[in-house]
Amino acid sequence: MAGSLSLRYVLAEVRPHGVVSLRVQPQSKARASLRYPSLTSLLGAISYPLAREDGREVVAADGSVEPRSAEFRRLFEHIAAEVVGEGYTYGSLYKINEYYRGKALQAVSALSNTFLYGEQDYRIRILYVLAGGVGEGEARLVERAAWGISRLGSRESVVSVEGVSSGTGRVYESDSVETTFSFEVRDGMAIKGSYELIASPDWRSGPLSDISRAARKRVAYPRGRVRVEGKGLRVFEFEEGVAIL
Amino acid sequence: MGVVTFLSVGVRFEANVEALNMVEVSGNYARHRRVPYVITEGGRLKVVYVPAVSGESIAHGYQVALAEEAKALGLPVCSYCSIGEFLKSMDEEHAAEKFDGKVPKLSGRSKKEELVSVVGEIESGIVRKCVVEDVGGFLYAGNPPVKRTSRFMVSYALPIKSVATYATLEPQLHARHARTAGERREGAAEQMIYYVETGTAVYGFTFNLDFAGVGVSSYSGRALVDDVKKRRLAAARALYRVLSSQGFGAKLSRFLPGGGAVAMVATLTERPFTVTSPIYDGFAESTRERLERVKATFGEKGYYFEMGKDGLKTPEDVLSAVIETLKKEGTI
Ligand SMILES: [Zn+2]
Repeated sequence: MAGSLSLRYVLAEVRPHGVVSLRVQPQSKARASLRYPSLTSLLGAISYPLAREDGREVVAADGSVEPRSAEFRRLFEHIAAEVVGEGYTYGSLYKINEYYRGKALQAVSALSNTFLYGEQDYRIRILYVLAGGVGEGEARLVERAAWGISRLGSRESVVSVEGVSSGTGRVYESDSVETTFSFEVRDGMAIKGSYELIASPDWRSGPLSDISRAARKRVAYPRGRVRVEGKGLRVFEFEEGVAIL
Repeated sequence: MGVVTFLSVGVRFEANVEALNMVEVSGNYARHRRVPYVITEGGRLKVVYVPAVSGESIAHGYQVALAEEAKALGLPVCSYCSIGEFLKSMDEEHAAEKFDGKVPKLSGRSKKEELVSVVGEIESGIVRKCVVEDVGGFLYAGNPPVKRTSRFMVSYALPIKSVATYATLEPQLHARHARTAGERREGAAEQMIYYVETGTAVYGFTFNLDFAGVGVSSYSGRALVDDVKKRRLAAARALYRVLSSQGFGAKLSRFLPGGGAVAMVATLTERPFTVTSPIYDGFAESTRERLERVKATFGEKGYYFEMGKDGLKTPEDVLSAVIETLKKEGTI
């Protein structure tokens, strides 16, 4: 297509080590879990190996301290995920007797935990579309960082990256597109097929130190493939799939 | 090429009749942690509830070993971590001993420069005084709040997928004698019964240790101490101890599980790289292939160790080889 734009991408195939704990923000004692990773979780996942390059994990912003992912946002034009296999969330209320340093409090505390479990071939493909100005060297760093994604979400959510591919995709406009990747739901879109909606904190704007107060975007995670219709959808087409920017 | 600073270990261990992770006591019934597992059976998906051991539980065991190894090497460990109470420097009270009672504070005008310097001072003060909080991270909820990400990460220990249906949970009846001597009250039971749920399974879990961040500031990326290598050695030895003696979990005095490590794979890389989860069959082959790909693509150093191969017969052989390689590479 004439005048279409080219952008680099890195695609990481991630396999959870049984449990992925994706907490809904804000956290509370009764923590719920998301079934699909929010876009901020996907940004955080690659920020850990990226930040490790110089050991600086946190940066100071005005009046607060920000995770380094705030700095890495500029590297990405778009982040999306394709979830293969259905997870299973599980929550239970635990009654725990508290004993603390000689004092038996006999108190009961409620702690609910919800996790995401996967079937045998549960996988998450994470698409990082790099911003236009990102050079060769930085693209290479992102590619290696993608191999180094080691946890997703919070706490014990260890993952391994089973494969990484990279290349160039093209951006163009279309009124109808089929996709398996997550996308932001905008007014005027018609979606055909099965999907789950998640209110995801906006990874592009606002402080990342406290995402509980960040603006939410409606993000659809297709179960399989969905058809999306709408005026002038911005499409990213690459070797392994199609995403809506 | 750089130095190998990232260790990833995948372990499969058989545990018979264990009570490694109890989550709830309800009356006289102590319940084992369990998780739902989606498995494929005859081409259909099915949910089964299987025993599990949380990563938190394994992390606790690791940090107990870390405190001991650090002290044995003459490294600092704070008073709470020394006795296995990992409250970390969670507030002013628990951080106080690292600062002789005076935890740095913001003056009130939260200028960017002041924030950076106070946050850095707090992190460095705690890291200097406690190896457990250096390696295991902490969250200081004071003003300003300071967070240090753990340099190690550990997954849940879950039954391996291919035989998950053979994992069992069974309540065992126990009796405790009630006091009857002296005054014998009418109607009082002579025995008190209680149940403890025990699990049996072949479990798999993953443990990653990032040596690059040990003793290093999260804010500046610079070393905060001059005994970084010794601290890394303590971190490596602690892992050896935990995996060799299966030193984690609860109720070990009465429910020491039968069994032991049946498979282990470890990798050492320059940058983060995680082994494939041992809960999946073929995890060793998949890990080795991926490691080769990363080495070839990025021109990085990388080492692969597998129990049962290259003369590494036992888990101890694997861990010794890892520690020897770290020494040879100058990491520890
Ligand atoms: Zn401590």
